[in-house]
Amino acid sequence: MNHHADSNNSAGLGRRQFLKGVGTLAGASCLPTNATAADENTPQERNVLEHPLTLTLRINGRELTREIDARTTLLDLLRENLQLTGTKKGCDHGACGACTVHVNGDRVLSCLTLAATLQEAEITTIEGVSQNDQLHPLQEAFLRCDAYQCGYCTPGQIMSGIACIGEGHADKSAEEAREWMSGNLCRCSAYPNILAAVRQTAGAEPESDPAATVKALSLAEASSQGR
Amino acid sequence: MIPFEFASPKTLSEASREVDHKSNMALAGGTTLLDLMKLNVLTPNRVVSIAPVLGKEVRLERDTLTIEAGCTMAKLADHEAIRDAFPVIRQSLITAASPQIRNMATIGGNLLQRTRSTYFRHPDMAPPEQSFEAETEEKFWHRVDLSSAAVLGNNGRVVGTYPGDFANTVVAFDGTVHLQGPDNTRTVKARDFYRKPSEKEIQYSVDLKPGELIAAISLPVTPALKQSLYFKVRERSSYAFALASVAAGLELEGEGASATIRHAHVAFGGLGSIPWYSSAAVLALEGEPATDENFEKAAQTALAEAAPPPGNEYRVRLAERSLVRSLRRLRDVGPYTDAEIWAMQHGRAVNQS
Repeated sequence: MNHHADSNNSAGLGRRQFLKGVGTLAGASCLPTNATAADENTPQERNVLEHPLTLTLRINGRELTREIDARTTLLDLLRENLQLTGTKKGCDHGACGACTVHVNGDRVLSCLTLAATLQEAEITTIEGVSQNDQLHPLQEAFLRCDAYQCGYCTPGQIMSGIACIGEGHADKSAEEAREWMSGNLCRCSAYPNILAAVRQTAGAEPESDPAATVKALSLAEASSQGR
Repeated sequence: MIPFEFASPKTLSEASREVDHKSNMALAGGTTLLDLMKLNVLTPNRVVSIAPVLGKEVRLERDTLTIEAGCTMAKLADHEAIRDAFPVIRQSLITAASPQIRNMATIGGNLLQRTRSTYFRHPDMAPPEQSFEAETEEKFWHRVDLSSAAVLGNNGRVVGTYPGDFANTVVAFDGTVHLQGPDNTRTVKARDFYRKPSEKEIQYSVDLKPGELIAAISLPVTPALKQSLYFKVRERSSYAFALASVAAGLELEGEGASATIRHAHVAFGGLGSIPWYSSAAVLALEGEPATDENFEKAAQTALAEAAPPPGNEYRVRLAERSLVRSLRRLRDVGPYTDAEIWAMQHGRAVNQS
């Protein structure tokens, strides 16, 4: 499939890192292959820590130990300290769901979680749901159903959707699935397609592209049907 | 957020010695505290992480349900002792916030939410002693967003509403708050725990002394707790605070409108400066026949003391109708099922499988 080929082309680089590399190459320089963005941030990070806390946790199966400022939220730890920028910062106040991740198996808001409370915790982010090149079935469904549109809320929707399916709220009525996905807001109104992707993955609907059943009518057809 | 120290006490009594609720604040689920710290509304010097030392158990023993404060909203709503047995508890939890927040928020913290009025939680808000005069002047009322202003228990002033849902169930069904102090424990009736804003206050206060933490709450298990519901009206289908909500339970003797109301439980959410137990409604209902007329009379009596700020008059009528609808539902059909709640809230696909 095309999207697989695309993801292989970037050879495991995150989008941001890839774009950075493009910029550097355009400036007739060379992207050092062994320097990660996380390394670049480290000195600055240390300068602001007066009373650092030592935090050890597992993120997407990898154990990590970091010195952090007590104010660091899980969201900022992921994005700023670890360059795991798949998790998105939307409202930063618990109102939008864009930052949803799993902590010890439960979906939570990383913007309202202090990293310091996560000693020894098991975190899964959007970067950790696929197995090597094999996308998670819900990621596949999002592609099939065109459920991502602008893409900003997508990682949170997928993390929430995986949990929603696991909790058993996605394979019954459409209203139940809507309700249990209501913590994730989408500004470009991809809701019907997101709902289809979640319900298809739960087995409540056959796998299909919801757009395939949409029929565009000409003005003449519409008026002859009294619409 | 201003810098703060982070403390991880090993026991609940150690935690209570560290917390003064002012400069040393308790962090449980964090869904309110972190939000307010990011806005610089709360600026503790020290944050004391209490979630690991709070009990998380739910126990149903004879005629008492005990919920330890560290139990999350999600775990309580899904607990086998609650799920099908006490509808008002489950429904006041699952119609609140979002699944993610319910996975984080503890029951103890949930009871202590601050008002969501953007005016009263603004960091530039003048101290109450300075702003009090202005809030009593009518011209002030037209300058601020009053959509989260209390309609009941406001003492004729503009004060913030208590925003939560579960606490309305706790006061309706006569819950008790169990407090852990540094050296002692104490219990308070939930109806006394919340205090309406006094003259110099702009939102509710609670009977929580420095050092005290909520360790658990308990509810008497009554027949009405099983014949109960939580009805919530809001501006969008889900994930919103109530414009008006009702926690209600009925114990009837007989059938239909000829039944006599043995016991009634009524509280309103979204309306009061505190979770609003309506003794007026309960007095009007108990011992009377369960007729529509009596339900309407009780609703009007319950809202008789409402003093809605300008533009909020509709919430009085909304609350009356919500109560009448809740009582009729309990009399004629019984508690709502989950599926009925989803259909009612998201209503677009009632016939869809």
